[in-house]
This record gives sequence, structure tokens and C-alpha cells, in this order.
Amino acid sequence: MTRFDDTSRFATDPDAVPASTVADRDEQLNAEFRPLTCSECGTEVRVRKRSPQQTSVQWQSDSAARCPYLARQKPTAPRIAECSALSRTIRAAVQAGLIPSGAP
Amino acid sequence: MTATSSNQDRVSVRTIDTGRPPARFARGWHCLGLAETFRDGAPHAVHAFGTKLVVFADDSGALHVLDSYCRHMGGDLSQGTIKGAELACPFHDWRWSGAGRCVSIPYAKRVPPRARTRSWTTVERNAQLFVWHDPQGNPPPPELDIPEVEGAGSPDWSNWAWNSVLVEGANCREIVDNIVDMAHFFYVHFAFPIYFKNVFEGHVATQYLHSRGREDKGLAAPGQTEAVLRSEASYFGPSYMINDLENDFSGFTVNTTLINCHYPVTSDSFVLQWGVRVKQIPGIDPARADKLAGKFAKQYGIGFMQDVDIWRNKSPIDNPLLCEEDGPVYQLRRWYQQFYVDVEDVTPDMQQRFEFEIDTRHAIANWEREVAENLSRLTDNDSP
Repeated sequence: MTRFDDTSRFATDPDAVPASTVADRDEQLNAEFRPLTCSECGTEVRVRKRSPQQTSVQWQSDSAARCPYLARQKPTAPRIAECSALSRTIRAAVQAGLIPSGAP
Repeated sequence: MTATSSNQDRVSVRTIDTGRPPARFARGWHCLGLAETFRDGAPHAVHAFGTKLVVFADDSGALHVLDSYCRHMGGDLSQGTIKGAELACPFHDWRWSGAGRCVSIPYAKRVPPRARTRSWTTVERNAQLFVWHDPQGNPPPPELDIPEVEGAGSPDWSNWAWNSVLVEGANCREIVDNIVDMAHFFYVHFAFPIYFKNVFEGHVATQYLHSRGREDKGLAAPGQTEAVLRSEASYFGPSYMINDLENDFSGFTVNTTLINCHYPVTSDSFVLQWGVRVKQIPGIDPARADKLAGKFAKQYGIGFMQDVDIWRNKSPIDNPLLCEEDGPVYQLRRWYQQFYVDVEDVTPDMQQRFEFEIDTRHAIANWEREVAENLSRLTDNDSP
């Protein structure tokens, strides 16, 4: 397999992940997320919006343990697309300016 | 010359971190194919998980999976013969049970007590055979059961039309990346996505997709703007995807199930398999549904070959550079990682629910323009 990156790192620690990749991961997984509590059930999530239409929701716990709606999910079924109570909470938080809605 | 290098100095060039292929194979259920194909009276070799397995049906029809190399002198059991409930080695006729025990050696007074080989845990579901792979050797937890498809085995659905291909030169994680890849549907498969969302949670990763076809590729009716395909696709574990599809065809809707699954052969090859079944349409001859399933399977086959062409030639990349219209590749890979670490080392973030909806407005506007331009070019070329 062809490698295009600097292969010298393999000489010292073959499993070392380059610092730049660690930074990329951190940015994608963590940057700009804002904490939010669902007004319905009190579940705490982290929300990031990159535009009015784009939304990322990172749950902080086992969703079924906290959200009565998602608790209905069966482990052997497709994930439920969204909890509408949480979606309402997110919309309200965006309107209130608590979560930036991202560039239009 | 000088101009080029000074340009490069100003913006530092991004390098690809190819990472390394996973040092192990994923923990989870892996589908080996339609169960019936293994019930032809002969043992079947399956190259998987860096080794060779043998699948055989005993005289009661039950399917078993063993390591293919006989623990006596290394004979290849997949070249052997099924004798009653046992599989006989072609080298010295040692007889192996489905549980992995040598039960007799026709020329010997007694069987050595250590004559045990590895028997793989199997299950049949959805008319398919699954094998459980776990580098730690634990049994499969019940919550990871492969779900039964709706109406499994009922006459409401056609039989499975099944196909497979050996993909060489790529690790199987390439196909899993596709679950978050909206834009490749347009460029590689000539579909036109309209809505795209992912949800990852526990051992399940789901993709919701609404799309139509590209008119400039002859895959959509003129002026079509509504979605004609509604798709919900979920990986249950690392390798088995059930995709429920609703297709609108001039006035009626066809429901199909697409299975998209794979098993690793080596760290840079895997067997990709896909199966299609079609829900019976009231008033239409049931035999037609089998035919339709075959036709769809052929079409999906073309689609998978388009992917294979990409995988065969692309570089592995651990640091994808994403734009805002890309799906959550990093979160998907974090989810996928749970199958590559010991079960004690699975961290909560690998399994915690994550939702990501793409803003498709820019893509739709730009793609509509591109399709229109291509269409007008086609018309210009057609005119005398």
C-alpha cells in the first residue's frame, strides 16, 4: 500500500497518531458544541449547528436511560431519527440565541 | 517555477495520514451468504478473518463452521467429504463433528483426547448464515442479535437475489465510510440526494436518505424534483446492513430490502455481498417479484462496482478534510472503533447517541445547475 505521508514516524512509534490528526479529530468531535438541556425530560446533550439546516446532536448518556421517547427503541431496530421534544428545545435555544445557528 | 514554490509556501500543503489498517478483525456477526447455498451436500471453503474456514451441513441439515485445516496433519477439510453428521478429512479420513470434536478415526483404535478444533458460533437469520467473530473468544451477547427482516419467510416477499464480489486492495472500513457519504451518491452512483441524516447509537449506525435520480444520466424523468426513493439503512454491528427502500415508479410504490454486508478476508481484502428482495405487489404474479429482485440486484451490483473502482484506487486516509456538506466521518469512525477494541476498552463516546443532519440546500442548488448544464449540452450535441 502506498503511503504519502512522512513514514519516518513509524520508525519510532508505529502506533503514534500524528498530532495534526489528533487535532482534526478533536475539532470534528468537540469544537463548538454547546450544552443544552431538553425542556421536556431534562436530558443533557451537546448541540452544534453549522447552518440553520445543519444540526449535530451529541448525547452525553445512554439516550434510552434519559429520554422517554427514545427509550422505546429496540436494540435490534433502526435508530429513531429524532426526539421531537428535543428538536423543539433546540429550535427555541437557537431563537433565544443560546446556540449559534451557523452561517446561513 | 519560483512562482509555484512561493505559492506553496504561503499555504502549507496538507498531507494525508494513511494510518494503518486495523491490527485485528472486527468483533461481531458476519454474514457468509444464503444458508441454502451451503446445503448442497459438499463442504464449502470460506477465506475469512485471515484464515480458511469450512462450512458444512450435517445429515440433519444443520450448518456448522470449523477451521478448515485438520488438526491431525493440516489437511484441508473443505476438500473433504460429509459423512453423516461429520466432516471427513480428505487426507486421513479423520471425522470432525460440527462442535469441533474428532469423533472417529476409522484406522485408529482410539481418538487422541486433544482432538479438538475450533468450531465457530453460527446462526441462521433471514435465510442467511452468520458466523460470530471475536478475537477475545467471548460468546455473542444477545443484544447484538441480527434482527429479522419484516415478514421474513412470508409469501409477501420475493426470495433473495444474492451476489458477492471479492474486493482486493482495500480494507473493509472503506465500505462502512459510505454510510455518511452523501455527495458520493451524486458523483459515483448518479443519484440526487435531497435529504440526508445519520444516527449512531450502541452498535447500530443508521442513514436516512431521500433521493431521486440524475436526469442527465438518464435516471430521472424530466423536471422531477420530488424524492422518488426513501431509504433507511442500518448497520447492525460492524458488517451487516439492512436497508429498507421505498421506490416510486410512475404511480405505484415498490418496497425492497437490500442487504449490504461483508466479511474481511485479509486486512486489505474483503468479500462484499448484497441481497435484494421485493415486496409482492397486489395483483401482480408472485414470480414477477423474484424477477424484479434479480433485476434490482443487478442494478445494485453496478452501483457496488462503482464503489469498488474508487476503493481499489484510493488511499486510506485517517485525517479526511471535510466541508460542511460532508457527513460525520469522524463520528462514524469513532462508532466503528468499538468493534476493534477489547470489549472492556469500549468507551462511552463510541456508543453514545450522535445525530447529524446535512444541510443539503447548497448541494441541491449547485447540482440542479450542473444537471441542467449537462442536459443542455446533450441537447446541443443531439441537434443536427
